[in-house]
Amino acid sequence: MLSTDKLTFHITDLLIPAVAVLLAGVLMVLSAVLPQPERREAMITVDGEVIAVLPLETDADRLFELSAGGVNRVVVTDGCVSVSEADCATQVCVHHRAISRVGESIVCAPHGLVVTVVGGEAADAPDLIAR
Amino acid sequence: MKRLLCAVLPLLLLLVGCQKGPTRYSRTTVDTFDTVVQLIAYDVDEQSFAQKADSLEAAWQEYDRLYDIYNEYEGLNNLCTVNRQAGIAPVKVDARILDLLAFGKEVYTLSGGKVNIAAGAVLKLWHDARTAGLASPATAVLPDSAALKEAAKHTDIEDMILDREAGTVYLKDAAMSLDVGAIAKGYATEQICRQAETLWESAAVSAGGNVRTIGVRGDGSPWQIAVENPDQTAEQPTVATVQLEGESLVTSGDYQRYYTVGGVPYHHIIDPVTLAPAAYVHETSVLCDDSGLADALSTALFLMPVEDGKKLVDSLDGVEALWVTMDHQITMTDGFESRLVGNGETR
Repeated sequence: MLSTDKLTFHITDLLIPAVAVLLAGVLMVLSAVLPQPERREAMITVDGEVIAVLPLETDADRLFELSAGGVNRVVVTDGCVSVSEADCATQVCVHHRAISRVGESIVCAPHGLVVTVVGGEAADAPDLIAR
Repeated sequence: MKRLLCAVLPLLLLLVGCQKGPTRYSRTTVDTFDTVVQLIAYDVDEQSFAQKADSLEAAWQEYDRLYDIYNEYEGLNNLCTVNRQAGIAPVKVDARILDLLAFGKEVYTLSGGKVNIAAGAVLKLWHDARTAGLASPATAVLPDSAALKEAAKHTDIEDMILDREAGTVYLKDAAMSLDVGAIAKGYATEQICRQAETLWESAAVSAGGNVRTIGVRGDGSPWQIAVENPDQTAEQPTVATVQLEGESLVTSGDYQRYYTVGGVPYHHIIDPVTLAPAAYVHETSVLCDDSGLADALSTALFLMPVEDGKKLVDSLDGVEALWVTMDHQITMTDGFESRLVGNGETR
């Protein structure tokens, strides 16, 4: 047991805790204020591997000839990305609307290809979409 | 000593205070059977999440193979095998197949025959015409109407004989075949999520757009699940967002799988009466506990007028629904409306 006199409080005892609290506060503010990646990009993956990243601020028209076979044409127009052409059986990716919101994606399941909009916070985005 | 204690204690407290609960992890997998599986779960670390996610994916693959009507696999009797043995012999199958088919019979009764897994002969004609039409749009044609009428004679679900004791299924009519497209994804999702409930307290799964949640989000707030806007040219990508706490939400629509003949789109949900794509609504969405039921009911509602659908939903406990009508009006049950986030988005 500690004796009573050893527990006497000194104002200097607050120094380290105060610094700790201050440091935590600074870190909190920094993490909130530090710039988030605002630039939206279309990340294109095949079977989980990233094969291309297209910035949505630049119009683009890219034909992807996949090594496992299959072709998908990905088009960026006016900040939106879509799949304009594919030689898959279902054409679900081609029928899909053009997307531009962070977290949205277009999937070509037969080719294992996924186009996802990334960058910045996905504010108010639903967790999942029933379709 | 005391100075050290004074210093270390608050630091420890700070660390504890900063320590968040389980972290949110997510994964999107595209399997070989045209299904995108999206998984979100709150877990202690990435490794733990990945291990559990791998085990669920393996389970999903098994269901996929069992319920595949297009491909057979070495050493496995699946629904493709059952179809090929129609009129020939009973096929010994996994219990998961018998369970699905028994559920298919229940759904047939529940939907007044609208959802019929024994209608494969009709659906195949549409599937083949659609596949050919998508591959070669210039030569796209509708299936022959005489062939459709002939096929419709071979869709009696009573000809699907399930023998629990022998563990077999037999299609009595050689010209019939099973197509479980309207129920299999939802049913498999439900079974897999029941498995996942033993792994996570907080998770959400979308298997090809069939959404099933487990618990609530890691922060205690409900999951927010949106319904896709069937109008793919509209600026707003979704028509509604609901809050789910362990329930399922499944949508059927005319906007994803279709092909075009002479400028007219023909989608994949076929009306058993007209033998043509159903033309009552653009989209239906069903909210209830069981994802298999939600999947089957969303198809059933798609195959009937809104008023009939509302009567069906009212007759069932714990089932809510939303419809997007042909003129893009949104209508929903009161229970569905009460679940909307911020009382609903509008287009």
